[in-house]
Amino acid sequence: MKKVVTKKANPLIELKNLVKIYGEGETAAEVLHGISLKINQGEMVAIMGTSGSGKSTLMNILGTLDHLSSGDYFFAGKKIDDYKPEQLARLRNREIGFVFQSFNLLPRLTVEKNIERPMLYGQVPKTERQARINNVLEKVGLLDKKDKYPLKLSGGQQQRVALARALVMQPNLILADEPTGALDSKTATMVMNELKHINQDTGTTIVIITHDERVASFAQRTIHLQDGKICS
Amino acid sequence: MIWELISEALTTLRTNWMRTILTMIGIILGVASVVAIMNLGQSAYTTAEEEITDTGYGNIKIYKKDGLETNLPLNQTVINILQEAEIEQVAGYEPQFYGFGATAYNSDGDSVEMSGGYRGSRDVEKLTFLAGYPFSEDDIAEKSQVTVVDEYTAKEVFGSPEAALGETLRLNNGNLYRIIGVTKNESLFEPSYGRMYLPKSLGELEPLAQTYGYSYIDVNLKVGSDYEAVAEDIEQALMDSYGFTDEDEMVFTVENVKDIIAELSVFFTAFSIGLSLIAAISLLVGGVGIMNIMLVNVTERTKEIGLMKALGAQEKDITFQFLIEAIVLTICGGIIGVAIGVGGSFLIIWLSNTFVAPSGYLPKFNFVVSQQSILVSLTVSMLIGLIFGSYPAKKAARLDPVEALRRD
Repeated sequence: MKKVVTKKANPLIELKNLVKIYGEGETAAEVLHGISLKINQGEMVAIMGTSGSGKSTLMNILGTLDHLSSGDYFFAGKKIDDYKPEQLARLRNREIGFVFQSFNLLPRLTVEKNIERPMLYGQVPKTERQARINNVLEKVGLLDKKDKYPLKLSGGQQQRVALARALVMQPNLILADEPTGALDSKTATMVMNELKHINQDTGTTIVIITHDERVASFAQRTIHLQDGKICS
Repeated sequence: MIWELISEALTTLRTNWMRTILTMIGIILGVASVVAIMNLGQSAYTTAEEEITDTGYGNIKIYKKDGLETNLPLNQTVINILQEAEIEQVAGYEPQFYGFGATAYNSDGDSVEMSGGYRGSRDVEKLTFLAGYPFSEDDIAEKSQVTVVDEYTAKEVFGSPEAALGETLRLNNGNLYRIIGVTKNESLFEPSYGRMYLPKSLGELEPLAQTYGYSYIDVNLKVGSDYEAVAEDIEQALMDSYGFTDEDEMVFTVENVKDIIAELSVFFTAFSIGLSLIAAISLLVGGVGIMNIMLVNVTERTKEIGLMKALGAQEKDITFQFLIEAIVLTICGGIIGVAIGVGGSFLIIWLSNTFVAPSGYLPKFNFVVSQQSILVSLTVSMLIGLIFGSYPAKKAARLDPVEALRRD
């Protein structure tokens, strides 16, 4: 199930003058002040900043979980900032895979069921689902944990399951929000290596939000964010 | 997808089963009481219906109207009139005469209070015999002094049905009768006096019957008759013959067993409707409880909902999921309620039959399950889940994913 890597002329992600304002009237606060950036298909990029730099907001907007206040967001060449909620949900399901700091696995479901979830929303036929689950679990080396419940796994294992879940719909983009924040340094390294491996192996674009230099070093390049502006 | 959601819903309910049970209590109680009471009502109704249709030979009975002082007895004259009228579909008229108080003695002097009488010989044949036989043609032709007694008499005076056969009983009119058959007690009630059947041919009781009148006349109908039409014809014939112009003047009642059952039905229906209203209130309260709990559920699982949106769930996917959870909850409550209702009503009937029926205050009931009430209860349970679960489900679907996923 190797993804065909096509170096598109278009960048996968293009932000033009992105502004985000929270609140209204007197309590309005501009959190992102005109961000412009381009990320190409196949890149592994780190967005680095301290807390308060606006990196979480930026990630939420990149992931279509939040809306921009003004500016443009082009995803694979399409202007998606005025997509309807249903279209955005579809986009999230098929094109974007999330990895969170606190793993966010559903505790009452087995590993297998957790990974299956996005496929149910995406209406992937039953016959295909098993094959895909096995495939991604193989990729992260956790095929033997298929029937286990998340709380029985270590932090690192849970994050790798989350990674498998993020991959199962074969997205173009993986957004990882402080993926190693809850892990010890040894496990953190292993997870970051796995991300790098997936990027090289399948050509999936990976964007990592982090405050940690060492994590950012795994990426090909780093975008620095400070006080809502890009600075490097 | 729906099976996944159902099994997930069941897992969720099981995880916090204490809370689940407490939430379901409203539904469980509402359903259980409706089912139990409907079962009891249906059991009573069916038992009564069976008793009414089984008793007696025909389904039309002619009685003397209650409380009327009249010198028109219900005797052979009436039968003559009706036979002359030649009403179609009638196969025959069987007079039934019973109710005189008597005492029967055996040779040892043991006695038992009797309510004797005669029935048409065909009627006696219809009874279930524990020992012996009904009157034979010879018995009737030879006017033998024989009698058929019931179980109660046989046991009280002789100890058992078999022991009673061939023994003689003496009535307080001095006559001896040989027991040739013992019948099973067919009545729902446990008797406190015995029954003794004499062949009509003996003519013992005829003078009494003609003077005081029969207890009632059974009208024996041909197969497939229209009861109501025949009953009307009989009433008309009697009115014409006796010169009554108005139904109110009639001294006889022509009772159609269907009327009795119809009256029962009306009562039963009214009862059910009243009951349903009460149950509806209870279920409404239960529904509000469900909505409450689902709202709490949604609040507790905010992060989960945010995640599902991140994974690409549409608003309708999330609405659907929470609706299914609510419906699974209410249907489970409904099923438990049905089980308790059926079990409870069975227990009540068993207790009644075992402890109260022998004294004769209540008859023995047949246990009947009202399938209608079960079906309605389960459907209503499902609807309650649907209606009261929809607000929380919509709320869940509209959650802002950013708020939901906010890092703790």
